[in-house]
Amino acid sequence: MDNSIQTLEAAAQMLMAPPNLVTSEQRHHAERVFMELRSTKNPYQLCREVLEKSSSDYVLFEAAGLLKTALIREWNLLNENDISSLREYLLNYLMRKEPPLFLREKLLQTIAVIIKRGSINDTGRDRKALLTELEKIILSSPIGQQKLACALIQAIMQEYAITVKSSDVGLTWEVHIWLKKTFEATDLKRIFRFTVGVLEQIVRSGVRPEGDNAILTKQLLTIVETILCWSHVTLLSKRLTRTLETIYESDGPRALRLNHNWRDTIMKPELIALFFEIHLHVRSNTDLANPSLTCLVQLASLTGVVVSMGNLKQQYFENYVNHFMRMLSMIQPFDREMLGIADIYQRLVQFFTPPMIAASPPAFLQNLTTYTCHCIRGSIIEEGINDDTVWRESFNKFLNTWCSLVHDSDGFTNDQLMTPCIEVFNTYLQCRLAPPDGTRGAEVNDGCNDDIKDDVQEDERQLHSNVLMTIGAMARKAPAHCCHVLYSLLTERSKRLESLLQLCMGKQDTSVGEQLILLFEDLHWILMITGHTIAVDVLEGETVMIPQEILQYSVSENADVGASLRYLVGESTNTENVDPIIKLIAEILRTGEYERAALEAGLGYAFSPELSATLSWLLKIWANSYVMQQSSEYGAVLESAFGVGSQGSVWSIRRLTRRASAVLRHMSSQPIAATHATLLLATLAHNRRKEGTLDIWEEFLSLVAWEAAGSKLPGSVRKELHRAFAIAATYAEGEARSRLLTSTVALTEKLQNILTMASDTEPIYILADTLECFIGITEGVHEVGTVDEQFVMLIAALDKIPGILFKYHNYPNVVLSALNLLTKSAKRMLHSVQQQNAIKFLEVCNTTFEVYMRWNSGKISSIPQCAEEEAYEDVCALMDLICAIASCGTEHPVGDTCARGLRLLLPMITQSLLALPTLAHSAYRMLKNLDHHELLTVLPVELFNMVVTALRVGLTAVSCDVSTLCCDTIVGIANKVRTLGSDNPYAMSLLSLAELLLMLIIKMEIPPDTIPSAGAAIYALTCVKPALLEGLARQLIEAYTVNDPGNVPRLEEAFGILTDGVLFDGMRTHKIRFQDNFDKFLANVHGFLIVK
Amino acid sequence: MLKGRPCKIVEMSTSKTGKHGHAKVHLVGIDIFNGKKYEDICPSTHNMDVPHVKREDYQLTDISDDGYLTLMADNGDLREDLKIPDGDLGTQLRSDFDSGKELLCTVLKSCGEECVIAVKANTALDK
Repeated sequence: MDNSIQTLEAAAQMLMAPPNLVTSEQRHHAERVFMELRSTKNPYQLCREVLEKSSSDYVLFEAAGLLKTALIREWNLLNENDISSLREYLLNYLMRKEPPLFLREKLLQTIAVIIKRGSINDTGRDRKALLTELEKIILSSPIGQQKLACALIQAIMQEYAITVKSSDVGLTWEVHIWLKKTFEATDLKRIFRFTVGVLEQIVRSGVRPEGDNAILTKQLLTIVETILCWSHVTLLSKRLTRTLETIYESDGPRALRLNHNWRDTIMKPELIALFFEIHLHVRSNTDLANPSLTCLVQLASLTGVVVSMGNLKQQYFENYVNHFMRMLSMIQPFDREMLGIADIYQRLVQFFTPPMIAASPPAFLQNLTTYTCHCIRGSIIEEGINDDTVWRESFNKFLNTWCSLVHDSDGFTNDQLMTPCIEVFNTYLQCRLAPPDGTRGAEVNDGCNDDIKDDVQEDERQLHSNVLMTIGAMARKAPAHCCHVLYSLLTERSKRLESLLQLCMGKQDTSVGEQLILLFEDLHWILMITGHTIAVDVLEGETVMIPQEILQYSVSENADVGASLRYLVGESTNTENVDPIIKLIAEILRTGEYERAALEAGLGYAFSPELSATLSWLLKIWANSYVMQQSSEYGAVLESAFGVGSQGSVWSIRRLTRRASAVLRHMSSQPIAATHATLLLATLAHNRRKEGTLDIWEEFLSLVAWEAAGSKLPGSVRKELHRAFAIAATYAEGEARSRLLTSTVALTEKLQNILTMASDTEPIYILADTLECFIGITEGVHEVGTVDEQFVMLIAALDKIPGILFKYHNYPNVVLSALNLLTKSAKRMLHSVQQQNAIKFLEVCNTTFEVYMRWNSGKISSIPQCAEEEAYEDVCALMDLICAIASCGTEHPVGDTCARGLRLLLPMITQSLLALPTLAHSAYRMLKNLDHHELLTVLPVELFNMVVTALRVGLTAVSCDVSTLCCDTIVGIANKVRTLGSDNPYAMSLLSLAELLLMLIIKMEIPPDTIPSAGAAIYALTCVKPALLEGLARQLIEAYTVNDPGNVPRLEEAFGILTDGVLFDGMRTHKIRFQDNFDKFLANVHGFLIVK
Repeated sequence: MLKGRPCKIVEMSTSKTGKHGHAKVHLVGIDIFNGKKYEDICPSTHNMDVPHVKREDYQLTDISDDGYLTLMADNGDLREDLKIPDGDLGTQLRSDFDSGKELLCTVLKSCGEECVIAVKANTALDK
């Protein structure tokens, strides 16, 4: 034995030695020594020896690891006494030796595994005894042993806590769950009460824990924290539990949901008081403050049966809030602590009812307001200067709280909320504005001005939209104040803008430039805040109402219709009796006018593209909810100003179109400004759906003419512009419509011209850009009623694609755009066009496939090692195209075209394709899609066989995505061919996959996450031919009879379990039963086949 | 065209001189003939020259002793004015040709320069 320890230590030295001192042979030899060690049978005595005698860390670590794996592997062969003596030995060893951390953790885990596996048979008796022992140690032993005892409790809890992620200790899912459940029922609460008791003693002692005591306190706090974050067993399927666990993990800890057993513990008022005391006691030590704060956060989310009776929840809440407010009155929160406080607020509001919240003491709202304002300042300073985000995180949590408060109709009243909302709104606004109105850049550390100097990477309007949405919702709680403030600020700033721009005329004055930048930034924020106050930002195409509070405010002001309209259109400057919302809108429109005037006067170089974008954005969301809406609730003023067919709405639309058009003409080289202008145009096109009079479209039509004459806009902007035209053409009627459609005609002519010209007179990128514009058109086509007309015009261009592919096959970007154009047309339009048009389209696709094949067959067969995925984007595009065509299978006869496409693509799906993940994913997704549309089983047999070959390749993929797609496809096909009989050529071809699949599963060569799908595939295949599984089992067993006769009976038994009580009829109940059996089968088979 | 050379743009980013400034375009291009990297930065309002680039496939019929290729165009015309390309491509071309493979050479032409930039197996002959 001593000898072997020496061998091991020598090998360890070899492994750990620097590379220049040992040869690779020596290293390999050393590795082999440990490989052998790991597979030692019955190694317990050896391990004990090693632990006692060896001084090499590496050997100790290997021995501890071996102990654990051997225990799991040989559990059924060991007798009870051996196990318990081993456990006692380990505990004793740990107490005696106080080994280093890495060894301690490993051994503790081993003990925990023993406890967990042992509790299957003794229903937790052993565990109880151990816990009693550990409690004794914690109460009376030296501090070193106390820490060890705590660590062991933690290790045991960890073994029971995890479910889907449990280290595979050879137990099935059901047993894991059952063990966890009994542990929860018997011991979890006990540990909680005990630990809280010890913590109480620590607090009562009055001594701040330091050194070892601090470590012990942290362990105790962590145990309590773990229990409060514990996810109790729910009776859900494995798949659902997995999903839930993933969601909760990404979303931070879940709520504290307890059953009635916990009532006597958790409902004690003293308990909450104690937790706040604990936090006050330890808060100056960050290490301890974190878990204690998490406990408070968890306690703020108590739900479940434990509080379901009577007014228990109410009592709990009142008690909690009182102690919470008491704590807040005693402390000045640290930065990190603020995050916890924000979290508590958020959870209270989330988990308790609005009436309870509203009935809380006034300090609740006061503190919330104060802290929110504090965080606003903190977060804005933070934005510019460092990478830390603690203020922003706190601020976001506070905002979530406010968001609930302002939207709950049965919580706080508007009167209660008004003052706090004004305070938060004012603070935010001040932080964003330059002095004298605001404080931006006033503080030394403030990063805002640096922020202006730098370029912004993300779209500002999206970056801040979450915050601004809530600020806007809060502003609407005090509309009179907020609209007035915004109006005054905007009036003053836009006047200043006008005069500064005039100063700029003709001279490059730097001082004016600096002033302008500050002014741009102010306006940018005022406009963003205004936008979120008076309207709601939604996705394009969705229409929303004017926010309720704004409507009510407008109605309650009862302004004069005539005076308001005159003010809006600028006929009068008298603000008396003018509706306050109209006043604000008029000011916004006027700012847009100043911009347009400046641009048209050639001041484009002086104007901020960012501000122009913000203005376009605001006008877009405003137009979306105000203009041309039909609603009886809009009140006389807004109705007559902007209702359907009103003069005001026609006037505003023309104004906005004209402004957008000016931006496009004069700022075409500023991508951000031009893009937002086209988005505004698209929205304007959208909401003209009811009134199609020609004069609304006037500006649109002049843009059409301008673009047709060659606008020189950048490609991406042109694409968006054509999308807007297509939307407009969808909604316009009569002459306007036919004139809008000329944009497509002009584009087709342009395409024709490019193609007929000799290829070296026009640069290739123009061709690609033009194709992209057509893609824009397909994206813009909307309503079913007009699709055909637009499609017919488009076909003229699509018709040219095969020719383009032929001539420009060497230009990847052209090929890609051309294929994308076909795909987009298929996706967006094909399903709703008439049969004869669809057939024309399918013919284009057929020719396209042929031309593509002419140049690219074999493209994938020789993928070089260094291949980059981008080089195969066109293949992906083809696959997308086939998918898109297949999805129209119910409307049109697409089978033939899909088959042609597959004939082209299937030879490419080989082993080398799997080296390109995106491509592999697309390929197998396409097969699954085709199967879904029942197109695979109507293919000619020889093509179908190629599909099966492709599936065979896909099953061996390392990626879970691909192998799952394959299994799902197999299930789909199997269900279809089942009715044909198992000797049908399709069925026979498909069944040839079964053996491979089963072997992959048994040898665990399939990604673990694919296992459920693989099980379903085995079942579906067996349904096609019921004798299949039995035959495969017999084959496998025969193979084992030769090589490994010892395992044959177990294998036979395992297959017995697999088919136990299952009928292969494809019915749901049997499918589910098979899946259950399959899990057991795998746990069983992997237990003895893999561990070798 | 970057610095007077025909380039394939491999990276293009726009940035602004400050949040409210105007866009500048930063271009990185690889010379289509010799693979050298060029960079340029200019305001987005400026116009750029775009080279006309022609790609044509030729069938390789012979390699002369002094390293010139004999290429046949689609219409059967022969040309012998292009040298075997430098680097790995040239080596691969020669070894493939020596092993008797039927090869198609892609010739890139722009700004008066011409060069073989890719070689592929000629599958059309198999059919």
